[in-house]
Amino acid sequence: MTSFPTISALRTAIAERHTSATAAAAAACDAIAEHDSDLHSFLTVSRERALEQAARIDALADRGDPLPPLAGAPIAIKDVLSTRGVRTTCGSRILENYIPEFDATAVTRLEAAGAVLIGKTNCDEFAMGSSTENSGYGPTRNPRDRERVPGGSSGGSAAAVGAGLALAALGTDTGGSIRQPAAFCGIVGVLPTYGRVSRFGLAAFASSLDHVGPMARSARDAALVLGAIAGRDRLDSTSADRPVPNYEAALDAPLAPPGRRLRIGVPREVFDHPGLDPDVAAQVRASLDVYRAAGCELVDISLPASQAAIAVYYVVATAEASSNLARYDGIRYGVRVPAAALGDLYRQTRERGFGAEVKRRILLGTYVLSAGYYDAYYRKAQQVRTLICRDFERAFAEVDVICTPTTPTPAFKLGEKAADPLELYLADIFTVPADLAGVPAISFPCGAAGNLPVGLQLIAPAFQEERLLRMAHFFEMAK
Amino acid sequence: MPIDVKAIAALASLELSPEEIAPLEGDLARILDYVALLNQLPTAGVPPTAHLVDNAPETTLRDDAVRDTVTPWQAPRAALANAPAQAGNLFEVPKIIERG
Repeated sequence: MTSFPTISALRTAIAERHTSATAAAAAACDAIAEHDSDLHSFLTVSRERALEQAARIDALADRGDPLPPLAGAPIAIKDVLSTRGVRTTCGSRILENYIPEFDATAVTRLEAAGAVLIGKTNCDEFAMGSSTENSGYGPTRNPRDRERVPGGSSGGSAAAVGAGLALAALGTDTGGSIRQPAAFCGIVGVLPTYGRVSRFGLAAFASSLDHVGPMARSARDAALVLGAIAGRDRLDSTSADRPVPNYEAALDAPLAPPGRRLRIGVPREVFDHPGLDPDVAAQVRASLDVYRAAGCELVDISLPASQAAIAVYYVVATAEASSNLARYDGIRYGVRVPAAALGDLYRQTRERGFGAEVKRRILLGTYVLSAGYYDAYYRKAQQVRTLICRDFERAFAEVDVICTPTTPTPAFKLGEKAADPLELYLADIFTVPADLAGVPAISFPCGAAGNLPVGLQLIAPAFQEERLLRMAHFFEMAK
Repeated sequence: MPIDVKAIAALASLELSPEEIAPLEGDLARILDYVALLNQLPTAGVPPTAHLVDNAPETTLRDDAVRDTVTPWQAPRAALANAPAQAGNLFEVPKIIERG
């Protein structure tokens, strides 16, 4: 386990030769072997790759060369991101033996920035879930309370960071899968603007909604990781061709330009939501006092179409998933169930390889795209998605950021929502709208309900990640 | 109207066991009931959002040039490394055409 609290502290210690990247990498891998058996946040430990990268960092330090920004930082990667030579399962049995030939761009960029990849983290199968109970390899537990889920789908990444087994991690977010587990495990999670971070090498779930982003213990560490992975990638035509700001430098700027007050929108539908736990609501409202005391203005706003966000999501995301997951057919990679006829081979491979939730979503997506239902479901959902985008445009004409609780409740118990898929879907009700609109959001710990962490979510206009990170950092400093 | 799960599964190349079908019928019916709340929002004349970026073609298109890629003819060992069955430099599948 790393004894250094932040990425910068470890980098400085390596530069000044108080420790070495090799020692930190070995300690991180040893800690997983020792402490992860009941947590189950990792599926694969990449010790060899970690030690090779650590040796490169130590060679730089030996020569007295400047170290890259993430030098030596033990970082975990959600197992939906491709890692060359390191098994990548997507949490699915259908890929239990898959060893990629290439790295995801976000992984390449992390290593180029000096990070040490220590392993691959557990997740809901193909990122479909909100508790990590849909993993084909068994659930992850919440480091704050082992009876409870860590959230999902990036639950392994959140638990690993929350438990101190990794300094930071990559997660992916299609409907809340970075922010919801970050909230449940008491860490920081960032949903970058759609297109800000390349998805090359991410196993596609819902391509118009999938995002890659950082999970870390502080806004500063999240800023460092985002700065490393953001930017145009010619291997992802949806990546945005715009400069990447210095997110870390932006942390210490004033909350609002001189002579102006920052305006924080508080959507009434969210705080009036019947499913919202009163303790969570109270904690988030109380946290807003930190900003009010700093001169920010709270503004009552409305996001009327967001009440339909979950309905839109489960049409659009499943439709896209039914197409994206057609590639898992037992021919080029993964598990194959042999059969005498090709069609039987496909069907039996997919029957054996996919878990219940993945099948449910493939079926739902196939249904909403099928002849006779396309207009009633798929086209209608795309139209309501437009209304949700317009809600945000209208709100951001008035306010600089929008504040909500990240989740309606704190972490729930394992098995508590397993019987009813729809109830589990509603755990994402406050996170899904930002994915649908492609705008950035952050979740950071703002307090507790009982002994469980509560996450505060801020949402900003496209490409305003600096504002989100700065506000999270401000809160951390004020506490 | 009940959903014909077997017919949808056939479209999706999924073979479901008999025990899976009944619970799926119930789950899908309940989810679609919930999704019906979309109909509470008027959408006449609202354009659909299919994707969120409109990157200009000159920034997303590239020349159709050969690069280092993992293809069976450029890097057969890498391309076939994960194949469950292979023959020479090819993916092997069951016979799909019967000789008449």
